[in-house]
Amino acid sequence: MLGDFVFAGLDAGEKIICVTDTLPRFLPGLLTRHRIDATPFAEAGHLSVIPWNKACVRNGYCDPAQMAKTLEREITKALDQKFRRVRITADMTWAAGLPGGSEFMLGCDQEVDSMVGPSTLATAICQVDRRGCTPGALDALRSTHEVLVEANPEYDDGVLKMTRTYEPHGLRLEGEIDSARHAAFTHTLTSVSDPRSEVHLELTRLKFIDLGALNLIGTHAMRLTRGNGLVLDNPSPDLEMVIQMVGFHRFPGITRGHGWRNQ
Amino acid sequence: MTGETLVHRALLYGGEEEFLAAAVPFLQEGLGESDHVLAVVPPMNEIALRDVLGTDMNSVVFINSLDFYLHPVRTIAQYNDLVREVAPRRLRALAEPSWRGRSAAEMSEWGRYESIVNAAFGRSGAQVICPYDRREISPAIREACMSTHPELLEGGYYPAYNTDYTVPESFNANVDREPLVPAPPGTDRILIESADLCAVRAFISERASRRRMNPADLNHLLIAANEVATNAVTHGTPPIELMVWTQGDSLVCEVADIGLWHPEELVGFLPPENANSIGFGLWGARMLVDLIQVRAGFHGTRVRITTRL
Repeated sequence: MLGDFVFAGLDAGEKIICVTDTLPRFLPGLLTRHRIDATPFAEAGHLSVIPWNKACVRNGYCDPAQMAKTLEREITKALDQKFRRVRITADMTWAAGLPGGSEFMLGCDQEVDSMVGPSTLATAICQVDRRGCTPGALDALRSTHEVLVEANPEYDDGVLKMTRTYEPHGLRLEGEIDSARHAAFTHTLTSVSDPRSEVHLELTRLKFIDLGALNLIGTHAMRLTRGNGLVLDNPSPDLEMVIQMVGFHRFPGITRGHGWRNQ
Repeated sequence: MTGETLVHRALLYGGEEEFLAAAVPFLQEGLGESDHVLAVVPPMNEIALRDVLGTDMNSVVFINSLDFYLHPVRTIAQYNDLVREVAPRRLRALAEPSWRGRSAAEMSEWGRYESIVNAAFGRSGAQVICPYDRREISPAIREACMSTHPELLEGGYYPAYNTDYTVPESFNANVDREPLVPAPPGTDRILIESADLCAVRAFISERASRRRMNPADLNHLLIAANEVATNAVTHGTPPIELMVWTQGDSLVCEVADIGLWHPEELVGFLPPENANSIGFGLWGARMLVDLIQVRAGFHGTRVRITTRL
């Protein structure tokens, strides 16, 4: 989703400001989804990637007010450079897990909002991994954001929904998989796979999976074994029982992730 | 798997003395050769063996056969896992399935199990003696026993070659010729027209829930039925229909099409190496439910799944 947001901005000739600790070429979704390396855009000044410590650290502390100053400076600079609009992204998940992190996150958020809210020239996406946040922090975030954007699913036919996840890298599966959906499943699984990193399948809301799809996971896992293979997270008790009955060892390459009752 | 030939003998005994005369030297020989020695026997025979074996019994793993022989396909898988676990040691098993209280259909499946042991462990080097109590078994069980064990121990220490032995492929095909009780008239049915089986699963769920099937069994039934229906869509000839009805204390779910299927004789009973092996689907379905029966011929193909309620 973030990749699409940034890509659309670059495409429309808008200024992009990303507050994140990654290099331009590793901005999520750009290289993998749109096959563009953002480095030349950063060099040309279309894209500013600002590390968190430059964006908000003052006297050794993270300060939301400092974040506001940085953004104000960047927006002014962009408008001076005759950009028509500014898009801002900030990946805040890192703060959610720290003591006082939620307060900092909300503080930053308010500052960004006060900056961006009244302006029609700037749009911002604050990226947060919902699983890293406490329910209270999420509710607070919901109330400060006008629109809550969910990542677009890679596939949704009303029976099966597959959504890309970023932290951890992989797919969230919801609904039912049978052989009518094997082709879509293989295609999506292949599109998120990367031989250098683990692929996680989040299964909490998967209600049905046929043996053929388990077989596909096995096949896929064999191809991925150069990396760390496939990690299955949070299977339902029924699914866990099925995998145990047919034998976990019959799925080489698959790793048990979070939420297994029997390790 | 050691690559050596399987020894699979039936011991037909008429009393404790006869049982011990064959079983004890068999187990002791295994201990002498550092085999993994297993005695899966009913409690009465375990007591008798423990008395005679004395201190040797500490090296023998005893399992109550009444708790072990519950599901033929799972039992083969359990033995298969055991052979792998103990390798390179050889598995030596005194294996006495219990026959009491089994229905005719269950007897056939256990007969098939005895036959499949020859195919599944043919190259494992395992040494197996299956004791049968002559006083208890019916003529049908005796007949199955003779057809499924290449060697017999009957009133003697040395095994006799068994001329009634039938190779597993033929035995298996014979079991699949036994007629099935037809579905009652007016049975609920649904036509299967594509690989999208969402509606078919809902059809089964609704009927199974009405008969209070527990959720875990229902999930297993859905996976098995989905597998069988997918096979019919992929390999069968339409029209394909699925029927659900209650028979005694079981829920029966049958998928029928008009195609002629030649099932790969033993695939679907032998534990596959992994999920990519041929036959994984049918074998997996068999592992999950109580019984799957296949009847294939010129009249079409029917696959029946039975789950106890």
